[in-house]
Amino acid sequence: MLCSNDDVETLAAYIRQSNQVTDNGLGALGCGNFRSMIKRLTIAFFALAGLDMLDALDKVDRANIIEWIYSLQVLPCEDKSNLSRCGFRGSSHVGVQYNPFKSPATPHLYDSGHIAMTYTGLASLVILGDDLSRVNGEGCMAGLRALQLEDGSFYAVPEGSENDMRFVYCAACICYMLDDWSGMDIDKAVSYIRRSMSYDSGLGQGADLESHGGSTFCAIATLCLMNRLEEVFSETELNRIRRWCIMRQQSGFHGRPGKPVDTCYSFWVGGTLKLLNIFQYTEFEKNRNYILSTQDRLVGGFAKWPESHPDVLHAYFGICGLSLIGEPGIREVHPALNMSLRAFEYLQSLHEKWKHQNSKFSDPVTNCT
Amino acid sequence: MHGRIKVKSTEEQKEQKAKERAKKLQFYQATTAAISEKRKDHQFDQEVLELTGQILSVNPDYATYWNLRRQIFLHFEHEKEPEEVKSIHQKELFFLETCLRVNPKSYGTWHHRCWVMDHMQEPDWKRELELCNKFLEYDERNFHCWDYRRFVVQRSAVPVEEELAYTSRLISTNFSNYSSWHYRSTLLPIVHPDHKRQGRISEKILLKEYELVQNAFFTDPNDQSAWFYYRWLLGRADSLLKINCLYVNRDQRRILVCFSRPVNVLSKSSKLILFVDQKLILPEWRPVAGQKTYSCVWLCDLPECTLDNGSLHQDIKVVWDGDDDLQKECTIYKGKRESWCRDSATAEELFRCQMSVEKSTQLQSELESCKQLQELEPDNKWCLLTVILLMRALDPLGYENETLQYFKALKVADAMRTRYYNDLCSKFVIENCILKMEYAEVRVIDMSHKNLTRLCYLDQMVLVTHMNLSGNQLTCLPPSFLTMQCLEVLNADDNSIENVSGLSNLPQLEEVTLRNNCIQTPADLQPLASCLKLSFLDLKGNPVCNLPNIHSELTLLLPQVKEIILQ
Repeated sequence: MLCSNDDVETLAAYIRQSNQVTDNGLGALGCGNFRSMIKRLTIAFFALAGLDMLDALDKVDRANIIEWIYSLQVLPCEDKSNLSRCGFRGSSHVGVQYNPFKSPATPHLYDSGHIAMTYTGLASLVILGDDLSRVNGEGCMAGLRALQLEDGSFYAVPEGSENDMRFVYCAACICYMLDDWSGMDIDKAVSYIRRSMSYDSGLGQGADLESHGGSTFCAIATLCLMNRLEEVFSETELNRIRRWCIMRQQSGFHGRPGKPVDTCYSFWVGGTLKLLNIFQYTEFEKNRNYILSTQDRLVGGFAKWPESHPDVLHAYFGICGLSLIGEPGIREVHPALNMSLRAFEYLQSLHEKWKHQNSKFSDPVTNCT
Repeated sequence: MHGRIKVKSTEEQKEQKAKERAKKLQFYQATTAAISEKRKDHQFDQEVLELTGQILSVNPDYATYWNLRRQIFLHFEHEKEPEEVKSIHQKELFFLETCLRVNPKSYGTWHHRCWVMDHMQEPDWKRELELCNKFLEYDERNFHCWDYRRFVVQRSAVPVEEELAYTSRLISTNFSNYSSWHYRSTLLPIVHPDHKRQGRISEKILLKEYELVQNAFFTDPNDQSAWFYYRWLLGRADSLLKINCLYVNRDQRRILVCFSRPVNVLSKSSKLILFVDQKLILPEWRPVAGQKTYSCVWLCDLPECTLDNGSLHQDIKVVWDGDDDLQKECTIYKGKRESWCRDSATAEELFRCQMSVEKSTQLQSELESCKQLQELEPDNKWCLLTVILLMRALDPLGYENETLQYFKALKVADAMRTRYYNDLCSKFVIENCILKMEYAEVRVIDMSHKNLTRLCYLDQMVLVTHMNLSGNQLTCLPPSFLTMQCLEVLNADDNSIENVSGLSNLPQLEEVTLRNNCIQTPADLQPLASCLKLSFLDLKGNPVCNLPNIHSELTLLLPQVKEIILQ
């Protein structure tokens, strides 16, 4: 099981082979896996974050990957006419020429950021130890503001898409990492979260929607990042949310009553319980046994169920689930920001530096206060 | 990506698969290239629809291509005859249905269907409702489909009563119908509102619902959806913000204000205003636990001579000028050290806010039904939990012993959550201790030997002077302990306490016994240095006592303490 260096190696190797992060068109990610191409950046995030949790980032070509991530940034063009479409894209599939300083004079008609890519792009940069100095904060914030709806939730892209709690969480992480909450109307987002509480005190993707472990995590983590948890929910309400969450443990965790357990909920629900200060009441042994039962003994990695194909998302969340129970060989995870505590502390040091630098002026590149 | 079961492959099969993948890749590259070309040339035509359709039928998450199709349709709406547009829309709905059959959980597909329906001249909403029924028969838990159903209902103004009837049908066919109970919970308050309490249901209907849900959990006691629904029916909305307690101490020149839930007194949108004898004072409020923004308990120091004048009595009033208008007043008489005004927990039913105040006869009959079921299903955790909650609602003190018995059974029935239930039980036990203290009208609280695993409601104990926590399973006295601003004597013997971070800045604390705990080092006792009135400390039976030179170290750390007992 996950107790020897060999196992850690196998796991790290799985992640690496599944994500040869190069940008030669469609080559990477197991050839022909074009379904994932659009969201390649999110997959890179899971891989990098997973390797970080295993303290195995040294094997990765940081400089190269950082360059690649920055190549995905949608920058403002000369006249800033595309400001509300800035952020990060998921991959280069649109075909914009790479210029690290600005978008072409006429921005590509169909080029825009995607909220989940902006989130995972920034998170990946933080994990890789980049100082975010090439991030165009002004663009990111404008791009984010353009995505928020009247009801407080967010679209993924400026042309419109579905809107739900996942993107509220992405928005909160972006603001948190850039230490700049001007990218969203916090009160509206908070009201959206409140209205998504269901009769059973779980939280759904939005108002009137069924409670779900994933959206409950997104909501609670968002409030924690905003430092508003105790303001938005009373102790009674928090107790009810705790009750709903703790009932999700069957062996591992499931995301909704009546559904089978799935490795990733060991993090979604486990992380929520951690943020609500009752993770220590869960049954560690059963949780651990379930996660490990989904491990692929040959290739490494975790799957959602035993005897299923592993994937990098479940590998990462399996690792995080084990981290919450204190599994040796795994770094501590910061549940609200969904990265290792080490990466989180690095981010804190960046914020300190920015506060120091910007005490008299606003840095034009990062635009952080 | 998700949940593909592994199947063994031969070498040949692997090679075949690789060839197929390469072919797919080639096709994909060619198609996306073609689309890019046409886009560049702003060609919005049938061909682009074809090409994007080919990609989307395999990968419906490609949001850009759904957007492109929408652009094309908008273009068509301008260029083509309405009849043709209608037929194009119909074709799109058919295309979407095939996509949904392949992947019924694609956000992009459902979202696009909404868009198409919104753009049709004569949308057939009935047909859409039928589509929902079909998909829900296939997967009742598909929340995308439920979401789409809500969209259809809203657009086509389907009467809510009809939807309510739909949930009734679903539930009567199969009680284990989580999504239906959920949907019902959103519809019921709209169809049968309680005019006095927002978001709640009228009483007559409530009684019928009790019957319905009881049938459900009697039929299938293991289906948690019915139990959660039942809990929701029994519950009531959170009580409003209140000021529970106003306390004034003349010697310390200090005012304490205790709210029913955490507030931020220092925010721009609300103010806590103080009047002493009708004179306005704007003191500097601070939360009792220094770091926090939100706190239940706030205090301020009064300027000198505010409470010194020789008058027979002085009136203190606080006004909360926030979203709610609240105030509290008390009078301090000449010669008295302190005074207060407090809402009693019993009068405010502080602990009963979990359950509605429906006639206790109704709750009693609910309790009887659940107890009946419990006899038939002794291992059912939902039933045990519900019985406990009903007993708490009806008579927390009267049912105290029985409640503890039920907790024992619950920890056997659901051993995995033992620690959670211990925590829950501690909470109820502490509620009872507070109630008993109030009935006795004293400021002494006895929580000894109650198997407490944690402390709570400390912000309701602001006035307590003597506290006995001995013989429990506490591991720390956490920062929430800082609300014990009137505490003079603390007995915390025979626990497993390692950390006393909450025992700091307690201005009245004089005596503390921490015998037989787990205090390891003098540093662990650092918080006590700020308790300036502390004169007696008993640490017998702690590991720290075995350290060399411990007595002199502690005397240095806590110079104010006259008597430190180590042996």
